[in-house]
Amino acid sequence: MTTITHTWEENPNSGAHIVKWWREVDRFSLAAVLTLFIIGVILSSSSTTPLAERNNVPSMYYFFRHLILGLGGLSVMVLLSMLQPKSALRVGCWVFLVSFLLILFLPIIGTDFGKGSIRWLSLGFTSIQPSEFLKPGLIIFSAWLFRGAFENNNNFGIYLSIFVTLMCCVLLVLQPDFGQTGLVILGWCAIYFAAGAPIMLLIFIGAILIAGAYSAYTFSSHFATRIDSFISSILGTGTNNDQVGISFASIQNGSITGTGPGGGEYKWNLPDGHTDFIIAIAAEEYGLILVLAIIAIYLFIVLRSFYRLSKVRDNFLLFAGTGLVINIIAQTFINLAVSAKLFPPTGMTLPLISYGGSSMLAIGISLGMLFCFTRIPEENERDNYIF
Amino acid sequence: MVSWTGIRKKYFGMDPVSTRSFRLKFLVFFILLAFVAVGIRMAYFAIDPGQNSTLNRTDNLNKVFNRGDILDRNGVLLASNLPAYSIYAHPKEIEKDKIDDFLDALEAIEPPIRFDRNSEKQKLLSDKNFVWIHKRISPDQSQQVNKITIKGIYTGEREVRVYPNGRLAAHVLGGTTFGEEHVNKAEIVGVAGVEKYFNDLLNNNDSGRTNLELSIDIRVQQILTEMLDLGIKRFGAKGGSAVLMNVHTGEIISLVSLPDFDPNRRAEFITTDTKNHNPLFNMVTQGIYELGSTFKIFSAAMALDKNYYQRDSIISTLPIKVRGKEFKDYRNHTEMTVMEAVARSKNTAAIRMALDVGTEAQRKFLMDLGFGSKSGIQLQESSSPLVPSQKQWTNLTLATVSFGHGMSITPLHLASAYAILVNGGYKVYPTLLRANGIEEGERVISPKTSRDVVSLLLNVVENGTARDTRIKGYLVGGKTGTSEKVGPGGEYLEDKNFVIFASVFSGKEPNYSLVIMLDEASAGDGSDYERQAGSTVVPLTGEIIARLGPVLGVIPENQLPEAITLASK
Repeated sequence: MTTITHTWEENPNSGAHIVKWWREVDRFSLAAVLTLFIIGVILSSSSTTPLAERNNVPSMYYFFRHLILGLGGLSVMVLLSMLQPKSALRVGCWVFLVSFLLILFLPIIGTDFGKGSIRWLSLGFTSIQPSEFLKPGLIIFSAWLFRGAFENNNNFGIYLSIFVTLMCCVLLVLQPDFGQTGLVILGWCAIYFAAGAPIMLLIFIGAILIAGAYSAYTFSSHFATRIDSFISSILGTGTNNDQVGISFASIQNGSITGTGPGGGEYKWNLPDGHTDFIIAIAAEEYGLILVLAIIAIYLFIVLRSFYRLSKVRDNFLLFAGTGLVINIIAQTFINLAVSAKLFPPTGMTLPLISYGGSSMLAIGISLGMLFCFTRIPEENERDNYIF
Repeated sequence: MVSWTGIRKKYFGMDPVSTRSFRLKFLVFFILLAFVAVGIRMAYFAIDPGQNSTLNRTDNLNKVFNRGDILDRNGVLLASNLPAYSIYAHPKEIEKDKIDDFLDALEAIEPPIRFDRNSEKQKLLSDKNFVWIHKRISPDQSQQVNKITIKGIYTGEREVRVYPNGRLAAHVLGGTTFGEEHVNKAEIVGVAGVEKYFNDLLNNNDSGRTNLELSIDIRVQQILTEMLDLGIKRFGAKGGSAVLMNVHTGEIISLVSLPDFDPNRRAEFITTDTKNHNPLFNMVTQGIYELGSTFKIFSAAMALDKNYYQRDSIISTLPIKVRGKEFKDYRNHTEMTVMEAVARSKNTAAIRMALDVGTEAQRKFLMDLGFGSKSGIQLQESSSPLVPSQKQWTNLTLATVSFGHGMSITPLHLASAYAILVNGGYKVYPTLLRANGIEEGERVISPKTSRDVVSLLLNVVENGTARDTRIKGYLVGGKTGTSEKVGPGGEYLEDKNFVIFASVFSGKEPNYSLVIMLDEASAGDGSDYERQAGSTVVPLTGEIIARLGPVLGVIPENQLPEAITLASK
């Protein structure tokens, strides 16, 4: 091993470090992320006015809150992306450990905000959903275990990652939060797939997931109510007041070019318009054009990241990067699919766009790690760069 | 012998590096597929020409909306549907230079239709397929709209919900809004009151129209509302509430909360003003209060039922210490009978009786009276009582609860509890539906205790704090109470209070319980005495019962020769 010449730790104030980072990082994806964030800020100016009215605060209160918390999340992202992958791994493991413990003790310290499942930790000024942080943490931890398995040529790491992932699933199911459970399993599968899983085995896991969803529907009233109201909204037997129906009406009302900023009418009837159904507000006020643009930007980030991941040198970077991309994009897809009436409501936010400090910070961590892993080091440092 | 590498290669995959590119492309393929599907679906929503109205659902075109009526106990119509019309437009068909002419014509309609000219103009100028202009106009107005000959403007039939009695029984009825809306019909959906609670029943057309028959008597409602309003004005109160219950069936004959609202225009009463009473707030079922001295009869009833005391047992009213805290009364620190102690509303006597009964029995008794959960009334606007937990229920809690502090319930809970105490001692459950006969519930106190409680309550009116109810010959029993308001720091505000009078009438076998409450009432200059229940809510109750008597068929005691009793049967 040769010594590393330019590192973050050695020379924290060096401008050279920033320049190096700028050369290495995936600048196109970074620009795409910023674009999505700006779209989110613009949307929040109209999506949060009903919320402000309901809670009797100045109409731009939540807008500024979103802006400030969002900038915080972006700063975390940039800082993380400047780390060495090794340090990022360390941070990721800590994030995992802390969020795992928080979830473990959530029944004692958490709150359900009257929504029927204990997912939140109220800090007074804001509330956080630890499972949002668990996902990137677990992915990085699992990727490390997988890499260890390859490195040592035994399967202990893989078994351990299965065990840890299942523990997390148990905790999430107990909340109950089936959406996040699904994402956690999906994240593990992504790593496993990147590590070379046989397709047949993945099909087997898929079958178990479907069976799990079915039994969740049968045995959990919380879950079943959501599915039932979704089915009844599709069949048109429910009342018009359900959010999926209203989101459908918003998309129709927006048509191709939208009603214009602030012109949306249905947003007043969407209690979760600033979070779960933000895309409905985008569709109503800015039309189909913006919806398709948002989808295109997400896909652009996926393509760029995979392109970069296809070039990384270390298995850990490949595993963790793939897991993070799949995790982010799956959440994006589920959120959009709910508004498009393809999925029952899950309570998932749209990454980078939905209102919410907790989700902004979590996505900042995920993307920061991803950008850290997809950095392509300069020629002369390639061999030293990883681990 | 299988090597670890062999197992891993077999079950956990191959070398990730050599197939990496294929695997990532595989993922990209599925992600693209998924997002293209969502994109196409959204595009389909946004531009599908088959759905030209924003809210019309084609799969529901054949559904008939025919909401049932709501009637009072005597069949008087409380809520019904009337034909009305909506105005809507297809902006794409409109010649844009005619919009101003149309709006001028719309403004000229008699009686005028309320609308905002600018926002309507914006709507009509847009390129949308469909916009609503007004959702509720009369047939007469609709005819005038139809005479405006401009392309692209339409009227559609629909039914609207009307409450012919206006504000009367507003909190019971609640209100409605439109649910699913088509151009030629609209679903009416309850948003509050029985309209909401019984929404599915009222909208159920499977076997014809379902009407709802309430326990409310609209004549009584009229009297109670009018009198309570007068009382509020006379005593300068901020608001007030009244609930009248049949003690045998639990039927709510009348429920008033003032200020109230007009259910025909409920949305206009939504307010964010927190200083004054919210007119949509139902004080009877939503408000929870420490109802003070009205609780002392519970302590007495408990002690009498367990035979620890009789009506004329002597009980001390000297100061008493419980867990280090001293309780005392204003004056007369001597001994008196239980009857006198209740009539003079002695805290110390209530504590002594409760202490003899014990914490567990007291808790069970209050739970039996229904204070452990929501009242069960058919209104979503109901609150749970605030009750100390079993763990917190120490002797100190016992002492404060014995005279009505440290526990908050709704006035409706109080009316039900008094009903149980005087109806012979069995449980009743408040209901807004007309009941068919009496169904005796579980026994809470013995019939003898029940008779004793009635005599204690009658004695309060005869000799105690509620003497001013003695008018016009009705034999009324009851117990006064004062509930101090709690300030922002959690301290009791001595000069701000609710006054309550829980009464039962008439005679030794009362049929009705009536709880009246006034918020910050004062009979005169605002001195302590003037703000007491005895000076305000008690005389008001007397007058109310005198007015209600004839309607309810209650005969004054001094006009009760045998002949009349027979004739009334």
